Formats: sequence, structure tokens, C-alpha cells
Amino acid sequence: MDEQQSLWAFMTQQSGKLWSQTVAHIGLTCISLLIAIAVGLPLGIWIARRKKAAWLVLGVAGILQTIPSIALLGFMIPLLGIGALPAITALFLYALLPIIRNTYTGITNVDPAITESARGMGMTPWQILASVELPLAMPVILAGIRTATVINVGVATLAAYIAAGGLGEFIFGGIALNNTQMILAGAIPAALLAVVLDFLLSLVQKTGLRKMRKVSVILPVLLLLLSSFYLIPYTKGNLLAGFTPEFMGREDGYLGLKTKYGLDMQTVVISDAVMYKAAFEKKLDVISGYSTDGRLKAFDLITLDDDQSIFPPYYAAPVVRTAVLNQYPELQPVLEKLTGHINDSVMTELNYRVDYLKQAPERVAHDFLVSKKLFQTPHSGNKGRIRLGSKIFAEQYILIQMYKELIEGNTDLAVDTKTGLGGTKICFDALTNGEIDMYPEYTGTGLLAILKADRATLQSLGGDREKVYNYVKQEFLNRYKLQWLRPIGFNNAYALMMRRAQAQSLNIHSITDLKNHATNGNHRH
Amino acid sequence: MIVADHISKHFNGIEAVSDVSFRVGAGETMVLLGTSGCGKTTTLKMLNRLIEATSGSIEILGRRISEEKPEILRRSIGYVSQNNGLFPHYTVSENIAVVPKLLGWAANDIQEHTERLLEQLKLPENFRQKYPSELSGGQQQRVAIARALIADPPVLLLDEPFGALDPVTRASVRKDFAELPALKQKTMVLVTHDVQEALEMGDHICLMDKGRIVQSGASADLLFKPANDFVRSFFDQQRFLLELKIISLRSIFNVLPNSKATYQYYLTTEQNLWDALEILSVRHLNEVIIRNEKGESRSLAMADIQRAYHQAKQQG
Repeated sequence: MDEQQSLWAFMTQQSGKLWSQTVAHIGLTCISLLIAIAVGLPLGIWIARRKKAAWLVLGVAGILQTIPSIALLGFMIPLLGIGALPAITALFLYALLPIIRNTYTGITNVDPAITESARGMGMTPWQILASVELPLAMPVILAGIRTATVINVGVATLAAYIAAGGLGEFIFGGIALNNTQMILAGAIPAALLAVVLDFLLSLVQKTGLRKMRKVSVILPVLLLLLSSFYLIPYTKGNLLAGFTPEFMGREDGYLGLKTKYGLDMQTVVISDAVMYKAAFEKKLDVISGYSTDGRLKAFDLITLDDDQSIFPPYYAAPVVRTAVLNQYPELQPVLEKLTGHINDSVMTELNYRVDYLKQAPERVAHDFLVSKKLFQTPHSGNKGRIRLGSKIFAEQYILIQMYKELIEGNTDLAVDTKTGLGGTKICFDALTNGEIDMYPEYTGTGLLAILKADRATLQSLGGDREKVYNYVKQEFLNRYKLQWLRPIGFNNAYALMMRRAQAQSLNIHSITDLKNHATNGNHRH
Repeated sequence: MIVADHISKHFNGIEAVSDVSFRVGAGETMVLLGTSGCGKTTTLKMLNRLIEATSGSIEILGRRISEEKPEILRRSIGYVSQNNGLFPHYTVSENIAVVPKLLGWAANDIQEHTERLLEQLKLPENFRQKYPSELSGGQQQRVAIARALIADPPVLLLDEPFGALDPVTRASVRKDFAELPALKQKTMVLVTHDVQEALEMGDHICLMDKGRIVQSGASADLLFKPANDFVRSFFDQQRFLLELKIISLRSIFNVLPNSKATYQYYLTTEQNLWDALEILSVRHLNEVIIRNEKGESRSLAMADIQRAYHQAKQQG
């Protein structure tokens, strides 16, 4: 996964995926556009007749437009779940305003002398609408449809967050994996799509007033045709897996699942933010989560045993500057006091209390130390100051708080905490620059994100817990003069998860079990 | 033919037309004359229910229009508006075919009628496939007239039909319009603010002001027997011209001396004192010959014009 191929090589290699994502993207855009036209056009016509309702309808559509797209998708999940339906609904809502507004403007701008003469000749209101007002308003209406199309092509990339497919799968996968080729493989076709659809519509628009009657037939047919590309990306009956864009593109993720386990099942791409809930609500059966995530407990999910160890271990351990350890030798045993007290399920429980029960990390950390009889009343704290850093999520907040209390209770050192230092890079840089003295890091992150181990190294380590730990410990000391202390004991790694009840009823405990079940399931069909 | 009985129109409590009554006989042309905002257009539009009367009743061809379906009513009434109202996305022939199509005519019938009307309105054959934007203002107005006449409606409503044209074009369109054979036997209501146009085209004029009819009658009545100061001052600017124009040569033919001259310039009894005065002064003649339908000739000199004019004034 390290070597970055050329964009073209990536696109040819992934041409199957690229094609299916593009098709899904076109489909999503066009279906939602078609529905938006079917709703927006009559609505625009209606408010052109009733000016009093116009401000209300345009106001509501305008408010919908201002909701950030990712938030709108978020609102959709509790109502419509995940997949095509909420994605199309959200896109439809976005496309609505330009279509309603332009229909309204187009029709109200038709010269009243023309409609009056139409009335004067004895045309019925419907005849006037169909033969006079709509054809004359069509250029303006088409301009609205063009705007809506371009908006929709853009917003449809977000559909990848809720398992509706589209080019967002590459874009967000690329962002998560820091893979420029992958981002471009999604972004360039998406941009081209917007340009091409806009161009096609501009051709329709330019056919001139005279052929507008034909346009009003051609356009819906064209859209319908393009919409039919989009096939709902999963079938019923089999198990359905939802993986994050990042997981989909990783060797130690979906790619490894396919090559090492031979796992072959229906997958959709989905955002980490909605994945657990979707599994809980039975929209998904298997997800790729983090093994100590609090939502595991909240939604009663279990992790499957990685019996062929494709997921590298992510054991958490304090990483400390060597100079600090030399200056305060009493620090190391204190920082290693947590070792053996926190396994995966304990960490999950603690995370759950912070993330789900909204308890303060300080309180959770304190209660835990007290229950393990590790808590000591603070000493004077006049010997010196230790600065602790943490990344920006609950697990790290909790750990930092524990370390703070441990240091204050067992040494004469005082503690400053710098929590919420963003991601790995910020914490690591702060540590090497001497702005903090210690932060908790994960072995897998050290190996892949910081040391950027090459493929040969990865293969030699083979995902073995001890080997990985020893490798990063050695390399960090050599390269950065940083010490990895003893791991705390829990492994916050990738894991496949299922609902407890379903896993039990299908008798699936490991990924191999899952693979066997999926393969048999496929054979049955 | 058309009977308006005490019709009024209120827009949000403001009276645009109040208590207007008139009667237009079959084949007659009635003119609604007045300044802008006097309610003449509103009155016209009530006749084909483009505007619904608030009160009063209207009968056309002996039927109360309020009892008819507006669309059906309008298909039997030709309507020409000031801004021609042609459909910009229709060709000339498609524009003209609107009403016949609504009436369900056969395609070749429509084509036949269209060809004949375009010829009568002096529009070249190749205009049929053009779009309104490719025509001049005068040509557009001719097409609008053809569109109103194609289905041969017995009643024609004209809302300042020549109002948007420049004076030269207006005169020529009006002339060709007046000469249309299809126009004979038509009952027409014409709205205009142009006094000359009103006198030329109207058998009967209703002068309106502030939503009411101030005076109605033949043009001579309005000129020579104004009901009040408003009517008098309305015509004052062009009074001399107008008065000469409404005195026809026919009305003085019998009191003129016989003429034996044959070389002089001829006028017909259809023409008026103004035409005679124009000929005399432009061509520096002492007298002009007038012929009636029977071929009798009389001679008219400047003194005859003066005498006839004063007589008409005194009678008024």
C-alpha cells in the first residue's frame, strides 16, 4: 500500500470499481434529479399562480439548501436508514430549490401580453401552460436544472458515507489513506461528470425556443435512461458488510480479507460515524470497527476473531522522551502501573461511559483507578513538571487522566495536560520537539503511520504482537530517542464486528467462520 | 348584437368602470375613446371575460356571456391587443392557426384560410415559416389581425391595435385593415386614445373618463354638440381638422353647382371636406370636381368649403 502508482495505472487497475462507482454516481444524480423535477416543476408552477405561497415554498426550499450536506445525510439516517433511499432523498432536497425557483421565475417572467392573448383566443389554462408558458419558461427552467445537476454531482460524493456508493468511495478512501491517486481517481471523474452533464444540458438549452416542445419530452427520457444505470447496490438474503472508505483500500483491511481469508461477500462503503448504528439497526451485518470503540457495547456488537492475523496489532503504550526518563527515573514504573489492568472489554466499557453515557473522562479515569486501588492522594508536586499530550478522542483523554493521577499520587512531580492535540502527526511532532513529554501511542500507528514500514518489513513482522512492539520500540529509540514503555494491554485495532445475536445464531466466532458462511451462502444461490 | 347593461368593475374597492351601458348593432363599429386609465380597456376586456364584471350584464349575439364558458365564448370573438401578443416560439402560420386548432379545423382548411388572409393583409407567402421576431412591428400587427380574423368570428374586439406603431406604419396598417373583405359585416369594438382613428373607424363613439361614459353618439354629435366642457376640450387640439374630416362631400353634394369641366382633379362623395381642402391647397386649384356613384359631377371651390363648414357649426 505504500508505493504510489501513477494515476493512470491506478485507474486501469481499479477500472471495474471505477466504472461501477461512476455508474452509481450518474444513477444517484439522475434519479434524484428526476424526482426533483417531478416535484419541483409542479411546485414552481403552482407558486407562480399563488404568489402568496411563493415566499413560503421558496423559503423552505432555501432553508433546506443551507443545511450542510453531511448534516442532511445525518438527519436522514434515523428516518430512512442507510443506502440509496436516504442518499437519493438528500440529493433530491438539494436539487429542489434551483428547480422550483427557476420554474417560478421563468413562468412569472413570461410576457403577460402573450398569456393574455392566449386567454383572449380561448385557450384553457392547461393549454396555456403546456403550449405557451412552459415552452417560453423552458430556458430558465433548464438553467435551474443545470444548477441542480452540478450541485448533485458534487453532493453525491457524500453518498459514499451512507453506503449508497458513487465516486465518493474513492475520494474518501483516498483521503483516509492519504493516497493521492485514489482521491484523484474519484475526484477527476466526478468533476468530468459535472462538466459533461452540464454541457449536455447546455446543448438542450441552446436548441432554442422553437424546439422547446421537443425538449420537454427528450429531457425526462434522457434522465430516466441515465437513472436506470443505478442498481441498488446490494441484494437481499446474504450477509451485507459495510466498511469505511479507509478500510476498503487497506492491505490490512478489506484487501487483506480478500487475499488472506478469501472472503467474498457483498460490501458497501459507509462512514465510520453511522456504521455502528446501521449494524445495530440490521441494515448491515458485518462492519469494520475499532475493537475498543464504546459503541461496540452500546449496540451490543461482538468482534470476530482475526484467526489469521491480518489486522496489525494496535497495542497502546506510553511513548516518552528518553531525556525525561533519565531526569526522573521514578517516572517509568509509575507509567507502567496500568499494564495488565485494561483489556479490550474494559477499555470498551470506559469508552462507552464517556462516549455514550457522556460522563467526564476525569471522573471515569478516577473511578477506575479507585476501583483498582491504584489511586493515591496527590503529593506536593514541587519536584518538576511533566507535560502529557493526547489525541482528540475519548480513549486518549481517559488514559491521560489516569496517568496524571498516577504521577501526582506516586511522585513529587506536577502534571500539565495538553489534551486534544488532533491526530498522530501533531502529537508526535509535539513530542519530538519537546513541547510535551509523553503521549499514549498505538503500535500499529507507530509502525505504519510514523515509521512507514515497507512491505518486506510488514511481512517479516507478520502482524505478531511481540514482534511489532519490539520493532517500533527499537526504531523509535534509534531514530527519535523516544521510549515505548510497556503496553497497557488492550488492542485498539481494526476488527470485524457483528450483532451478538446474529453471530451466535449463525455460530460465527472468527473471520474464517464468516468466510465459510458467506461462501456457502453464495453457493446456495 | 352587443349589449352592455350597467356594467361596473371594482379592483379592490377602487372603481375602474362604473355603470357603463352601450349597444353595438350588427356590423357596426363602436369606439371606446379616452385617455389612459379612463377604463376603456377594462370595459373591452369585460366583453370577452378577460376581466369579469363586478356587476351588470353583457349580451353578445343575444346570449348572456356570464352563462357561457369563458374559453368557448372567446373562441367566437376575435381579439387583437396593442402588444400583438404573438407567441414568440410559434411561426407565423402556427400563430394564425391557434384558434382554428382549438376549434378542431382540418389542416388543409387552416392552410387555405391562412393563405388567403396573408394575401389580403399584404404579407408575402414566404412569411408563413418566419418567427415573429423576424418581422417588423407593422408586419407583426398584421399577423395579429390575421390571427384574430382567421376563424371568421362575428365579433371583433380591438385593444389599441395600432397603438404601438409609428404614424406612417399605423396609417398603412389601418388602411389595409379597413379594406379587408373579411371585415364587412363584423361587429367591432375598438379601444383607442387616438381621436382621428376614432372618427375614421367608428360609427359610434363612447367617450370615457374616470370609468364612466361622458358622452356617446355619432362623431358629429361629439364634435358639434359636446355634452360638457370635458368633451369639448377633449377635441379642441385638433378641432378644425376633425370637424372638416367628419363633413362628407356626400352631405353637401346636392347644394353644389353642376360642373362641366373634365380636366380637373376628381374626388368621390366618400371623401370629406378636409380631403378637398388638401387637394385645393396642395395643387393650387380654384376648384375640384366631385363625382358620385351615379357618375354626376359637381364642382367645389374654397368658398363652398367655408360655407359648408359654417353651416355645420351653426347646426351643431
